[in-house]
Amino acid sequence: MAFYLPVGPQHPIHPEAILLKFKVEGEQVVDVDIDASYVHRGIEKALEYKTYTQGLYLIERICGICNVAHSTCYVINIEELIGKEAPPRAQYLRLILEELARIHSHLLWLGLAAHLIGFESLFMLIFRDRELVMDLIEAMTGNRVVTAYNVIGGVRRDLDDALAHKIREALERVRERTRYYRKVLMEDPTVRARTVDVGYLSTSEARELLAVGPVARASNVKYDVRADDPYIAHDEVPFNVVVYDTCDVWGRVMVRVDEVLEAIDMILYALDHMPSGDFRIKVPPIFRAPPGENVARVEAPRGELLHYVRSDGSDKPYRYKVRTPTLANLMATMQMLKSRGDRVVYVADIPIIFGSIDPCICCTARVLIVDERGRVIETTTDELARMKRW
Amino acid sequence: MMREEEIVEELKKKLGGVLKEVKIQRARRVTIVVDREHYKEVLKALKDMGVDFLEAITGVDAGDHFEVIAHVGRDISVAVKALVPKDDPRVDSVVDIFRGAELYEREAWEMLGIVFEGNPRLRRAFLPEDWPEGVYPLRKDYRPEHPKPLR
Repeated sequence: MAFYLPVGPQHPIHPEAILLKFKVEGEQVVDVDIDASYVHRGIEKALEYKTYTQGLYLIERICGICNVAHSTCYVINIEELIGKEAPPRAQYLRLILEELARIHSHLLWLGLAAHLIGFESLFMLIFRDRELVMDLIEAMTGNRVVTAYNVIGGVRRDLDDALAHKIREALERVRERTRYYRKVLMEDPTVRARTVDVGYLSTSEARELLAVGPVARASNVKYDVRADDPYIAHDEVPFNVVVYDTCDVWGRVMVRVDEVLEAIDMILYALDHMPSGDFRIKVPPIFRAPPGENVARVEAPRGELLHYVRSDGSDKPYRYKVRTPTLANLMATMQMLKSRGDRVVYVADIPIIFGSIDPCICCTARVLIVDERGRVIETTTDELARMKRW
Repeated sequence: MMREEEIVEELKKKLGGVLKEVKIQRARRVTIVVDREHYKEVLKALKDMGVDFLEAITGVDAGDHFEVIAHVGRDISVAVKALVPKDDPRVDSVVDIFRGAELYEREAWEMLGIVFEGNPRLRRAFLPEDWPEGVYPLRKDYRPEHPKPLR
């Protein structure tokens, strides 16, 4: 007999407010429904009432953890729209901050993943080492979380030799620690027992359901905006796209660990090859953009982030659209969370499977909803029924 | 020849007559404008050519008409823009080509009232339950109470 198991909107498995409605038979999950309507602000509409400069402040507040990805995407979008380009040094500084943010986001997720499978000491250790990166972000930008570093035309602060030295030193330590965590996560029998073959998403499912980011790359879909559609200085700073073919939670863990190591190399390379010159060009605080439209994409820690802007020649965007990686991954998540065929999903695996996409509910919900009291994805039980395969 | 040009050439060969406007904005950015009847055809052709990733669907209230923009492609972002008349806002759904398109279409439907014909679950998904019927917040004639600027 099936019954419904609500998880959320407030629940220890996920600090953000979301309601997961599971249909379970005994220990097995047979269906799932998501309601993510608890945090949202109607940002797309709001942006139409703000000047381009004001919009930057709002965009950064879509999400705390991925604020660097949002602000990077916004500024390259607007710069391209108005035909101004930030100087090369600014592009490198943006890249350094973006990769620092990726390291802190991935370490945060690795800690949470350890927490979700009940490995509390690993959670504490990883969070301790994440602090090193948070300190670097604060030293570089002046802020720990909402960095406000990217501005239209460049970045807000330069980076001096003393700070570069500090970054190098701290990153060596982070690298050493990450290598150790990689070994633990690869070999530890508890971690493997909880993640290998859990939350399966085949390569064809990942392609069909349009998954992005580490979720896609752990399902052997080699797609990374940094490599495929280079922006800022990504065409100059070499890196490897990390791909795993295990298609499970373990693969998603390993993709993120390896991406931390790649990001460290990228930052060190960027510090060594930093061009000299200005770090910003002056753009007036209020300006009119020429009529036109533009698409910008960045690889946020959670996957491809897309911004679209349309200008009608005024000082405010005519239309601004944000498609966040978590929204793109929602369909794939619901697929992972269901038992299908001989791939059984147990209730105990719900936290780590849902966690494995690194869900960012405030990104998704705040962008989608246009009123302050909205509800999200109300009819998904039906839409999931369509996807059932057993 | 660049890949962008290859894509454009092949599309022109296949569907020459239906493309109203084709523009390569810059490297890796292509815009294609079609009438709504040919929107699905173009996306199908693109998928057959290996452009198999739908990034997002944007709905725009462009004043005298609506626009539905499907952003497709991984290395190259192709924007396929369908012009949809305001008095009859309908366009073909692409969920049978891109399964993951469903949520994107539902969002555009709710926010702008553009009907995606063939989407099996074109129902309220993102707006509140008590949101009045026929009010579409991202249309330009909708004036929100929020956001009010904080002073």
